[in-house]
Amino acid sequence: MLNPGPCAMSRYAYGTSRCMKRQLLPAIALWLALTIVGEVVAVKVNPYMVAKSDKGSDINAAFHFLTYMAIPVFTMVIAVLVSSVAQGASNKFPTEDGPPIMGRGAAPLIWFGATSCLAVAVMIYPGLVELPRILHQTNNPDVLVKVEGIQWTWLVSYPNENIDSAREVVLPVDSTVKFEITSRDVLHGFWIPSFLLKVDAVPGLTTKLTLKPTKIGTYDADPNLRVQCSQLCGLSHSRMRLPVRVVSRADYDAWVQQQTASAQVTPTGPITQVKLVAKNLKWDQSTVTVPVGSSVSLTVDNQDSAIPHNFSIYASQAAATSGQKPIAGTKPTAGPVQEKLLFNSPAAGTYFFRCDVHPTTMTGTFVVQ
Amino acid sequence: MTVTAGAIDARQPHPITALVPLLKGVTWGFIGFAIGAGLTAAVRRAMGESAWSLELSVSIGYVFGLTGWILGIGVWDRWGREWFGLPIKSSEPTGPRRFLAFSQDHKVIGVQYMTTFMILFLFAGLLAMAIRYQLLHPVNSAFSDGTYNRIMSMHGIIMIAVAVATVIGGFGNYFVPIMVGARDVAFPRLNALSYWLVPPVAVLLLTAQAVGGWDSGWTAYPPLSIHNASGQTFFCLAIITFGLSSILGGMNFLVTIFHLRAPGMTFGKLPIFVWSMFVTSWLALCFTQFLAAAMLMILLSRIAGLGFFTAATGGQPLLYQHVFWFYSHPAVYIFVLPGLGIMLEVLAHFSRKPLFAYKWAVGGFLGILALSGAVWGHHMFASGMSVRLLGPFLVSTEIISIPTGLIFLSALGTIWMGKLWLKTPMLFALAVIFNFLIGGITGIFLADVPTDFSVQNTYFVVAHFHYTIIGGEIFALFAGIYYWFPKISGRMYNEKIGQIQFWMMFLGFNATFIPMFWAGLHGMNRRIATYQPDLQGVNVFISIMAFFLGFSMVVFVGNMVYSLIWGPKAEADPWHSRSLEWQVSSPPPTENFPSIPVIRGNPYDYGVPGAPAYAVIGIAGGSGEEESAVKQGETS
Repeated sequence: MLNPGPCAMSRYAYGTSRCMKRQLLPAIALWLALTIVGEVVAVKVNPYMVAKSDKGSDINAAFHFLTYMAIPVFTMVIAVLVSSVAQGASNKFPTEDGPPIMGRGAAPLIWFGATSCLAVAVMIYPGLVELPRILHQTNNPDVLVKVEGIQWTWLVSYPNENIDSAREVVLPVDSTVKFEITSRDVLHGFWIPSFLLKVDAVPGLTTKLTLKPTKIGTYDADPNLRVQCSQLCGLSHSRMRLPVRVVSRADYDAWVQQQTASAQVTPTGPITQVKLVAKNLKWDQSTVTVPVGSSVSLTVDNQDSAIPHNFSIYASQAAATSGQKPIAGTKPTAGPVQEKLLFNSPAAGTYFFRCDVHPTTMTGTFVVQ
Repeated sequence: MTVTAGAIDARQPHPITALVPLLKGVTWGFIGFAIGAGLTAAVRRAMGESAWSLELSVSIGYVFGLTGWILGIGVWDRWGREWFGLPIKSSEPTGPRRFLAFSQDHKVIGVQYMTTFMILFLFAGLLAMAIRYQLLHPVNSAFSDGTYNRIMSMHGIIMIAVAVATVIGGFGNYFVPIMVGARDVAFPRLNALSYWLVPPVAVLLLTAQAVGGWDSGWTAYPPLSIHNASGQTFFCLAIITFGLSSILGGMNFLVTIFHLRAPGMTFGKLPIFVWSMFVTSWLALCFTQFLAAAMLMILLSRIAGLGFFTAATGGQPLLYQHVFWFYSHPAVYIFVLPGLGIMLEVLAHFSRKPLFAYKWAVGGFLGILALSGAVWGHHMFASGMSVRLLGPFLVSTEIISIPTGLIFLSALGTIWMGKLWLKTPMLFALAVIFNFLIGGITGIFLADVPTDFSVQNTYFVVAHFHYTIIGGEIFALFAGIYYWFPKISGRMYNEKIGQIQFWMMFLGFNATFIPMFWAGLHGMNRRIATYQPDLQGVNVFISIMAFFLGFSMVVFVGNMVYSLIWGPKAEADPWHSRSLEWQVSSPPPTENFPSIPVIRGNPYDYGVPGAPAYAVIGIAGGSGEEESAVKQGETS
């Protein structure tokens, strides 16, 4: 055994020694300094997303609270680490043993008490206090949205507005929205990042999310205003997205009108007939060309029994993959079925079309020239 | 049971004969598989079906094949013969060939585990490099979505296996017997069997790729895992096998610790690493069965059409998650507790101070053991399970942070005012404190249900568990590797390169995973082959840092290989440590101690005036009470 050093003494007379004070006071000072800096940084620098729903704002408050609580814990450990290394560390084998502090006195009791209080405090707020608020569901929402997850897209309908299929989720601000979510096949996860809420889509169950969007916004300006599948569901899990748009009540009503009236699209040019066959999870054509200025009367012939397909045309493949709204599209429907779509061709150029349900294997180029 | 040393033959057997045990195992394994698949074919033909159905035939064939493998590799020679009244063949091979054989020496088994799992760790690390390469671009055609999902799933399960078995199988096996003063574990044959159950696991996971792999991650949630490619069946068979190995190992350590402690070694004088192994063994013994149950249900759903998880047949997808996580949460304590045990060992010995609040640290381990089975629901907060379960699991998860904190208490109190010797093992042990702190604090955000709803299934979770597993367990593993390298190999590693490797790994690790928290908070979910373009910046940064972290492993392997071959010979106790394993030669003699030690003092009584030596190891053939020329705890 090495020679006991000058700080070694009876293990019971430890707390008042000068050696202890020589390390303790600077460590406490360091802890206080780091904590102050940490809390100031935490107040000024916000690492959290802007919440765009009412419950999301509560959750954000919880994030901030937990951060403020966590900082002194973190800085305390850092202070002990730093002061221990600064006081007594060396690359060479020490010439003496350290002081025989056994830890049988008050320190563990104080630690146990303090950590228990912290755990209970955090359990109560934001834990148990916020929980009922976040979980509250309403039976009388302003807007009811039914969502069905399928591999690999979302089927969204608004039963009360008679909207059967929406390829973007449009919501009125400051209104209570309730999502009723299920899955047709495997587990999916219904997540709208900017709302800070998610719940899984489970086949055989209906899960629910009630919230109020609080900020107007579009997916183009905020990529986190989207529905993103958050539960691994197979091949195209990462591409299972729909854009979300929060608008004023007036704009929402206008959108509802337009959706239900969209069967009557007014053709602005001569009609071009296009037929696409979906068979064996493939399109029969990989390039479709229409004259500029025409109106496209598209028939989607889904010959795959019990497998849903749809047709969506996007500005580009990148736009499609990142979850933007299609220029036009049909509702994913299981075959055998023929769906018709009438839309006015966009400006001259090259576009991208795909089946949203099979976004990597059923793709093609749509040329307007 | 007697172990006769291999007879020394003047004519050395040809080196190729070292492969004989493996060849026997593989041959019997093929024969078993053929029998199993043949029986299946016969029954199917009798029922009017085709002879071969991939998943069914492989499953039945595998059961027989695994039996054949273990019989051939050593179960027949060491057990089977006994059952039939034949003399068992129990000669222990010597020399390098013993590492390819069914050796009953816990030290050999420890090296077998360590080598196998470090190779698996590096392989899974390469898969991680592939993942990060893909994520350099928001939409990358480096790998197709399907291939990426399979790479990600493989990375996950191999790393989980590494996390379960490396520390326990490597260091637990090597050092628990020595640290309790025993000659071997309680059941040496079973110990060897535990190891030799592992190669079939690797074979299954690799051959799974030939039949489509599986893309359900390592968690394999149904219904996806019921309807995906055939590799999923191989996955289930592999995990069941691996679980069996884990259960047998847990039982072995418990009996060893209960019954083979040297005279004087009370539970109050047990090294903290042995305490951590004790607690971990309870977890492995009691909870692994639930993982096997979950896997079996998937398997039977796939090959027998049973409907555990489909609503139409009265089942529920969430049932799987409950059963799976009932094991997989205690599993994370199986990962981390032995690592924390190593951390505390190294901190004490390299601070030259007693382990602070030893009894409270033990209480912390026991408290985690008690609570670990009550928190599993926190993996399922967003799963759609009954909302009445959210509150109780939130409470239990917050409570389990209290015993975890006691381990921090011990760590911090130990280094406080210590004379810190900053060698590579100590650097890693100190890093564990820092890393696990971050892992633990971010866990609070996940334990709290409101915040969890935002970050569940995002990169925030990925960063959290990499912080606890790599930052906690793997850094502790490396501390153990550097600490015990001289003891196991008899040579010393290069200290300068070790320190460089530490800093590369520490900085690379933190730089890789801290930004992932931010990515998760900003809309990046996990297990995705493509992501939103606005997140490219942070992903490129993470990938570059990850490549740097990967490069630190190259430095590590270089140091290890060089030092194993050309390192300077190590003395018995280069760290001047009081612990029992340092009181014998490097490497230890086959029988561990010349005679069973008698324990007098505490393992951590540095600087304690008047403390007796930890143990007295007599000379071979002595009465055991005489103090030998080498007094423990004294240094030159």
